[in-house]
Amino acid sequence: MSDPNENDWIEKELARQLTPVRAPDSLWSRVESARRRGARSSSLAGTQAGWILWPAVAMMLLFASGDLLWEIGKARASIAPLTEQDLEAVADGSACDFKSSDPAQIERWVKAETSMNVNLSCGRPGNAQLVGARLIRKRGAVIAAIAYQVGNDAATLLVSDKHSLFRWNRDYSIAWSGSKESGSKEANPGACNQCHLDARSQL
Amino acid sequence: MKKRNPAMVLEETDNQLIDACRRGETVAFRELFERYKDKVYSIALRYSGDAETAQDIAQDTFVKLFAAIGGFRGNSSFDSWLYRMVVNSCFDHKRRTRRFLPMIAGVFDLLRAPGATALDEVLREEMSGRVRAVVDGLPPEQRMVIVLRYTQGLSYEEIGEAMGCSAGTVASRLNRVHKVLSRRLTHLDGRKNRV
Repeated sequence: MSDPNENDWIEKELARQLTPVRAPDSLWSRVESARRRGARSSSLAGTQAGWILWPAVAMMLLFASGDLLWEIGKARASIAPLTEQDLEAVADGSACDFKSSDPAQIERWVKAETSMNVNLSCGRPGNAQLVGARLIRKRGAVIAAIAYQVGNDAATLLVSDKHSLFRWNRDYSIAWSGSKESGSKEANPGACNQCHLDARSQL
Repeated sequence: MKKRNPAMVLEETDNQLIDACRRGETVAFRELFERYKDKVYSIALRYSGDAETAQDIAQDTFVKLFAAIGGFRGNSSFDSWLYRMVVNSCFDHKRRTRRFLPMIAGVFDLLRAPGATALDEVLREEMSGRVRAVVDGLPPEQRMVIVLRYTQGLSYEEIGEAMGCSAGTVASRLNRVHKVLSRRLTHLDGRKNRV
């Protein structure tokens, strides 16, 4: 706590420096003219200004919602609109844009084409055999489809940077990319199936 | 509409004046203004430190007051309601201008008491300058607390009501200002009682 005597002189000093003052005589005329201006401008605000402002606000909302819908559309495009033909084409090794059974080569190709990091070299070897990779483009979204064989069955790993809509879909596993969770079994076990496990046993 | 006699208006209580203002009577507005203009202007001037800015703040306050007076329900006193408006106008103005001007103008004239020696004057000037420097550097909330306390003599509770905080917060802000002033002025110890 402060010393009461010390506070005493500080209080006296502050009171002396902050004495009340008289308002200037011109203040009333300023208030009156501001009131009149205010009355005029508020009536304008309700009529002319409103007609100017509202369309601008409506346009901004329209653009904002359009942008939002575009983003949602792009995200959905990453998985949902893939047709059965798309998937069959990828599963068929002959349709691959890049053919290789080397995980490192496919990783580099996907990285070069899409900037996405895909980890295909993880962990212990399974009974999956890589075939190659292909890019699928849907409404601005890019999906890397990595084809592989599990025994006699063809399977595909689909990788996109839109992780929010990832889901399991029949024989196709979807993985995160470009993040720490990439290829993590905990985050999405399908991401590792191509080299670790029989894909069908997980689906 | 009944015509009001300005002489009669002077006799009216605040509540009667407020009712007359609600009915849109200009004379009542003027009377309410005359009653409170010095309070409003003093707070604005001591907070902003500039006469022109203080007039802007006082003008804003009265314009808002007259526009909103229909909504005054009397749940708190008129003074508290008015203080809240002034405080808000000061803070609004501060947000717009983003700077404080020196708080006290012409203070040396006030301090120059008749019969004071040259040494007294020098000490007073030094003390006042240091107090002013500390006060000018305070953040808006602390500055407003000391303005309401020392310009209007409000209690902690009244300041808290005007600023929307507790009396405890007001006390702690004031205590902080006192401590800062005390720390900055320790070298003048022993001469304080001469000021």
